[in-house]
Amino acid sequence: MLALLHVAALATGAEDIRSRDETHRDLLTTIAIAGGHCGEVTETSPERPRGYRVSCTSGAVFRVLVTETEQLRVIDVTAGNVEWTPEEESHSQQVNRHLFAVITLSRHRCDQVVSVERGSDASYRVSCKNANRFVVRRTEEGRMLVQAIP
Amino acid sequence: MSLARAFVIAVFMVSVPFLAVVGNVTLGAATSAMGDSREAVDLDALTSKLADTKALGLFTKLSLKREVDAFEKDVQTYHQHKGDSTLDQLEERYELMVDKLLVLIQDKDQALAQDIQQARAQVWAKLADPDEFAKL
Repeated sequence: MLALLHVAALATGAEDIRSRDETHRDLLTTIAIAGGHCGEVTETSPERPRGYRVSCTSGAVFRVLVTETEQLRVIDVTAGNVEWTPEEESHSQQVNRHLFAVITLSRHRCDQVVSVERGSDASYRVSCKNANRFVVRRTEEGRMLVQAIP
Repeated sequence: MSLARAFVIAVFMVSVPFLAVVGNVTLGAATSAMGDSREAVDLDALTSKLADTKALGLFTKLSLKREVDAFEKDVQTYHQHKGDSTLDQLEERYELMVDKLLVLIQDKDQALAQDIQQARAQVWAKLADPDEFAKL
């Protein structure tokens, strides 16, 4: 854990010199991992002691905070201050969230995963609330591939 | 420190003793999604690459850590014959977490993504084995 704190301290120092785009990308990725639908970042404002309030093109607002114990908190303000708690998710909720993140981080549009079918080759067919559908699979070379289904 | 945590903390940038935890891995002995590779993974080099990668930001690293902490707890609960998760479910979650790492890294640091891909089966084998897990 000391190593992580060391890393975090280094990263915190580096944060000051990171570009705005890099910070936005980092925040977008974090929100996607937490299962939040953001689209693009429209505005950020710093929050004490460390973190950001993030406004999104989806209309959602998130707070991304780092506690004194280096614990990350992601709070969906527009959903009534609902906090991301991976420790309390069911298996299917976790699978849906992981797939949502894979799709979103691959720059495809999915507002919310509504159904998942697992193929025999460990691929997934994913349907989103916005009617977009995708196949998520790993290539023989080990690359992750997200393909939209027409 | 658990292997799973070491694995992801390693991705965090790592000055963590990933090598000490995992030891040298020869993938030829393990089933790998990369196929029947006989190439030994140089984890010293992997650790250096992880330490140097700019592919992940601070908040991203902390969110991955949060997930790994929850996952590690569930694996521990499983090995204690408690909880509701099956081994298949835990493996699915593990694979999806690694997949997500690959998505984050594969276009920005292809060599690192390949190394992570090569190590994934070996790491899971240790997590799934109660005796190996207890030693971590």
